[in-house]
Amino acid sequence: MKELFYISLLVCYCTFAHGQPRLGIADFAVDTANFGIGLYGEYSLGSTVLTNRMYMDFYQGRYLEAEVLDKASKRLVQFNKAGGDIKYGLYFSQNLNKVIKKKGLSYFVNVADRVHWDLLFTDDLFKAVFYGNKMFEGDTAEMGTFEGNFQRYQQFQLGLIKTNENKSAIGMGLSFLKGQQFYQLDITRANLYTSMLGMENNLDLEYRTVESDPDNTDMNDMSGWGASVDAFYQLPYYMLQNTPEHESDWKGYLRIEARDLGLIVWNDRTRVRVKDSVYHNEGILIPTGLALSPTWEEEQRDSLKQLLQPETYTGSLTSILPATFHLRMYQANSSGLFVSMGTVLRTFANYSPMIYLGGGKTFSYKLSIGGTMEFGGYGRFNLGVEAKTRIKGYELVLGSRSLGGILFPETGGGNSAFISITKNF
Amino acid sequence: MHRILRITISLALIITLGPSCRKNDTGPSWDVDVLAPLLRAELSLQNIIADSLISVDPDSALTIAYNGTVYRFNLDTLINIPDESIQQTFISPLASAYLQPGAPIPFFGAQQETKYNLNGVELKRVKIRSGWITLELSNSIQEIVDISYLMPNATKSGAPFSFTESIPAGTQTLQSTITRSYDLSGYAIDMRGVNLNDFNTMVAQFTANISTSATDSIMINQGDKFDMKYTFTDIKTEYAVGYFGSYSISNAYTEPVDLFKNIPIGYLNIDSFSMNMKIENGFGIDAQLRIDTLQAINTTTGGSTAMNHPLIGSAINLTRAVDLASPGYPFTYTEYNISLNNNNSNINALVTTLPDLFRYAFAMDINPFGNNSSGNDFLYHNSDIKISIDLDVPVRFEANGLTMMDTVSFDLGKDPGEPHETTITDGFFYIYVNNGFPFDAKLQIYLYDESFAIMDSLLFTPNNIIKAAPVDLSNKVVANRETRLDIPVDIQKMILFEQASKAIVKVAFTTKPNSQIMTIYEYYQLDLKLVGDFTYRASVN
Repeated sequence: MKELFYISLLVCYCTFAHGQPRLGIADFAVDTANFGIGLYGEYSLGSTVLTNRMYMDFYQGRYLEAEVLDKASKRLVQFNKAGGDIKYGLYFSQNLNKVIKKKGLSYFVNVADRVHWDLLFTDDLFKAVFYGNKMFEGDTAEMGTFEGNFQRYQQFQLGLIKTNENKSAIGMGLSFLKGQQFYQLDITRANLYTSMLGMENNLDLEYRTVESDPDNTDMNDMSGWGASVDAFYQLPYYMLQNTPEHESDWKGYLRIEARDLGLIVWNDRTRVRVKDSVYHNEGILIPTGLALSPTWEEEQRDSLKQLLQPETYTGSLTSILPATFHLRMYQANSSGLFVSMGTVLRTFANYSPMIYLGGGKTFSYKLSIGGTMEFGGYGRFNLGVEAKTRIKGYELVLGSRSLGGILFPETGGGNSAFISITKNF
Repeated sequence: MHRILRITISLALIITLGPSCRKNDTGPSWDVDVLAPLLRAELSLQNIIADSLISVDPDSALTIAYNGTVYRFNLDTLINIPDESIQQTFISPLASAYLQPGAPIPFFGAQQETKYNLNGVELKRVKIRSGWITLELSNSIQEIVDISYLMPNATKSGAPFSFTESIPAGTQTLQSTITRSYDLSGYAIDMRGVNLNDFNTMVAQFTANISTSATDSIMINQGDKFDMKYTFTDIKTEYAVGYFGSYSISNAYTEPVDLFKNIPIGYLNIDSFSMNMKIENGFGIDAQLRIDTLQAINTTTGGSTAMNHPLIGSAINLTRAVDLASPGYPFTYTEYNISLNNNNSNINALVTTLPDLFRYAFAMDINPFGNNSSGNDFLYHNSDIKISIDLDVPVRFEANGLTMMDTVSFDLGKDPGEPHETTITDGFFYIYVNNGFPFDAKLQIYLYDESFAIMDSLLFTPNNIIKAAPVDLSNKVVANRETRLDIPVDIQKMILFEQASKAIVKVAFTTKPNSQIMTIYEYYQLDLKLVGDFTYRASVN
């Protein structure tokens, strides 16, 4: 029990310290054991532009040096992405073989806290925000399109997994979701013109924000509810063809998986703000020459407030979860070598299709080590490492898919870690 | 000024950098280069002098036309009916007598005359605009007494002023007393007495009866008495006729002049100048006015100029107003006009002193030749003797270092000792000036602390000269001229901004070309724009 407590602390520390999802319901399957229980935590954040150093300076509230911004800006393209996930929780699974005499059937219960955020922004937005508008003198900074999403919810999941004798497997999980917090900012148009010598600025702006009940943002609060489905199908797959003369030593599977197909309905205290305006600034006119009236300052404040005040609507609103589709092939041979490759697609998440290639070696029952290369997603190229060990019946997996960002924070743009501790009985 | 900068910089940052970027100490921060217009102003002569004082000639040249009253001698100065209390006591001459209910008390009934001393003023008729009479009535008879008071010569719409009151029973040792006030507004009072040949005299009739509600006869004892004390309060005169006396008034005082209050120093040569001084008499009296001194004083330079004109020190006879209605008045003013110009006075010298004070000294004799009107002087409530001036100044002048100066207060909203919050770290404020006036303007802004100790100067010579617009052979501006003034800012400068509590803005004008009289036209204008080009420390919550 004490071990379990320390493990729980470790998981919570890792997840709260940095935050992010990798595990799917296929990982909840119990094979030959009667029960399985596990704690897991993952966080990941990545960007095609933002470097690890910039993340950390930002997160820790430090001053962002010019060279940090310069290194990030070198990675800019017209449209840039950033995003991340945090997922931590615990699951329990039970083999139903002895309960209802259904061989290979198990069910699982999974409880998790989920956070997702993503951004899509233009190079001009990054430059205007982090360098200022002076570099656009005589030009227009095209800061739209911008999309930003943040949502946090808690998940209670119940599912079944059926593993067949031929090693094929199928599983499905249904989740009830408790919505905690949702924020969305869509800037359709934000063109900032700065005239020569700064004689005038012109901002053509159209944006929409959605904010869930601002008075209920804690984990105990329920600002919305929803449902989602996770499912996978896995079939045995031999990468090298078997022939009567030669049976390949490499065996494995091909898995297709869908996660988080669902939505959350946010309550009727959700606020939507809309603004579509053109702001023209030639400097605030002092109408009376240089003699200011006593109420001038107050008038300017009111005027500024009026200028920026969006139209606000309050009412219920539905958000779609960022769903994940994952195709994975895994092969291992009798000498302990294993390879994996796959692709991940995410919808409604400003996520680029990601492909990965991984490999490693199982040295013994107690230890295996592997690595991955990833292209796409919220970053560009990254390297990962993963280690699995078994100690006193517990299986501990830990690793990161963003070694580049950790080893080279000045230029690398990813940060992630995952850990899981499971025990089968 | 700092508040202005804060607001305008905030506006510029919000528009240029978006709502995510704002000042805060707790979040991450970074430096951004901002280029944005902050303030703008369009200055013309109309910004310095009220539109109502400026007229435009057919050729667009401007003229300042000022008309205003500089002195007023009003009714309160001439006659003043004081708040005065008069007490009358009526004592029973009877040894003792019984009176039936409703019977008159015999020692009342005759008309009483009361004559007032109004310090040489002999009023024959007065109409009250507003005011009160308050009566305090005391009774020692041991029964309720009904009293009636009548002023037959005080009438309103033909009806005399009167009232009836009941005074409770009293004793000789403890009289009963009532106090009542009556509004006299609108009453016309003939103050010539019972025989209509006197002045300052009020006539009243007082009767008293044992109350009809008395149940039995009552004995009047020797020594029984009534006391009547009446007081006129807050009497304002609507109209008065009489002889207002013969006496002299003299006075000397200083009057601030706003026209040049922000232009304390410099050389000003005004091309032409004319002023008409008008003295109007709205009283039905003869008067003689003597202006002894009219002096322009510049307290900044210490300079002063006394007016030279033949009428200074001479008596001016003011004939009486006519008791005939004129537009806006129930009487007709008589006027006396004095023309002042460069030929008959040194009026130009007075103005070019750039005075912030005028000192006057005068004497006025009322009815200097005695009771010429046979007691028919008159006045109305809005009668006065006033001195007004009509000033007509074509805006044509030569200036050399003519300095306008103004003080602007700061309020950063910071507590003393509060640490400096980094905002602007480096850069410039640029003042872009588009000058349409034919004069150079040398601009300087000084920062001062609470005790007016100078802390910093924002502009440095020679980068503080706004160049004059070029003119043609007729000294008319042919094109505007643009100038940029640079105000460097850095962290130290911003700290001084925070510590400063006042700024003094000085602009010294010099017409170009030199030694030429320049005409100012309606379309001359000076456009200012303050542009920020600086590095700003942005941060996020």
